[in-house]
Amino acid sequence: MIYLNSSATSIKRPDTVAKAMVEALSIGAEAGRGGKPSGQSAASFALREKLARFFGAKDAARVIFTSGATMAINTVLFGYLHAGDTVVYGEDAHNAVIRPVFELTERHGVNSICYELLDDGRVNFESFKVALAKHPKLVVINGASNVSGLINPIKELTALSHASGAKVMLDASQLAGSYPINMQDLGVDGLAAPGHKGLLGPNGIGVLLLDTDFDIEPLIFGGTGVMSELKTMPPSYPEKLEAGTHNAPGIAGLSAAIDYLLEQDIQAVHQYILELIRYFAGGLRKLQEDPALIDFDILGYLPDDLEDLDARDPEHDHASAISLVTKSEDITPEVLVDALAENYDILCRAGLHCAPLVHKRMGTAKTGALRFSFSRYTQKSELDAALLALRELLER
Amino acid sequence: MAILSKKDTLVASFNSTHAALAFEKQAKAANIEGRLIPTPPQIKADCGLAFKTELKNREALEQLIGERKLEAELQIVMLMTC
Repeated sequence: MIYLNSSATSIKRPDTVAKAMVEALSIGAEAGRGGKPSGQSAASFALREKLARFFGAKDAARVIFTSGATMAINTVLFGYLHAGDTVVYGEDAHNAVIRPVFELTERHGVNSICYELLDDGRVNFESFKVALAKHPKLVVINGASNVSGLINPIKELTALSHASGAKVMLDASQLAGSYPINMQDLGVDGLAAPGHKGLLGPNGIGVLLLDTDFDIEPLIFGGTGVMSELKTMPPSYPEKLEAGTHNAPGIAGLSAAIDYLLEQDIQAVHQYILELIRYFAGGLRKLQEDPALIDFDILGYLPDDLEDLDARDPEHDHASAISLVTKSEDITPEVLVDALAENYDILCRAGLHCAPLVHKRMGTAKTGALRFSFSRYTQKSELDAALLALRELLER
Repeated sequence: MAILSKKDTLVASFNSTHAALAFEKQAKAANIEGRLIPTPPQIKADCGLAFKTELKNREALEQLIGERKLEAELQIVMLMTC
């Protein structure tokens, strides 16, 4: 099987991840509610410190475990915004942002502004600045689109947001683990990431990292193992935002994954994935030139000369996803994704990718698109196989 | 020569992933060959998965749907297939 759907989840991980999870279940680390620090408490503490180091966060106590990036994002949105507040997000947002924002606007009196992208998927700075002029309380930035793969100029957008008085939440779902992120360098106030994509951990665990002056009210209420006499959640982090028993195997697995990543050169990983994008986009462009094949468009900005793709240049950078849509009513993304899976054992993803607004911007709201997304484990030979399969399937 | 060609196909659509997977399980148990595919754009359904099978299985599927009270809608659609 050729797996080209890494934007959805990782299927390959360091062996230590599963081993750690089995150990966590076998040894049975207890919940840490006893009279002395338990194995679980120690494991959670250690992972917070590793994550703080990995993401350049100031305080390990403000590294919060969640069930995934979606929960992390919801925690910030519902815990920071009140009636009358304004939140800004972009057309490249995932439904993990769009849906809770919709709920907040419909039933909680929050105002929202969605800033536009350019038709090629890049930020429309004019639209962004118009949104900031409404003095939002919070701006949610998508690190990279899970459809076009375009990486946003996070540092620049954050600086503009701060200048207008807003806090900034970064959805790092498509970047964490495969793109160097330092919260302090970027200036973001909050960061959400899932454990199971680029961080190479298991599903069911995610992280929320908060700057020391970014305070969030709890979304979920319950037991924390401390201050049981309080009717409210404890005031201190991380307990304030972590109700219930921890996902011990998830923490063990993610911890093993972060151990692995801390030894990696993440910039080199990003460089490698960018090279895969360059290679695949080059192959797609060759297919586009062949008159024997059905026409298709690649979604999102790519430089005319793919050699200009550069991990050091925010304007010419790219994350791991690349999507296309045919100009045929018969050869739809659904047809292609099924044929690729069934006849070539190549897995990718068709549809709207839980990101309806970016598809609307790019004109693919009705058709969706066929997305290929890569990881550090993807080989050029796999891309060759995918390109060959596309050549065969797109023949007129 | 084009690998993909149009073919009349029997497709069952659903309102949820759960219903789609339940249908696939029931069809398999009844020895009706078919498989889940992305819902073709010609079909309006809440679920992104549909069950594709050959036209000859229509009667058997209708019976299955009736007997097991399965939530599914059967349609014949022209699909591009290999």
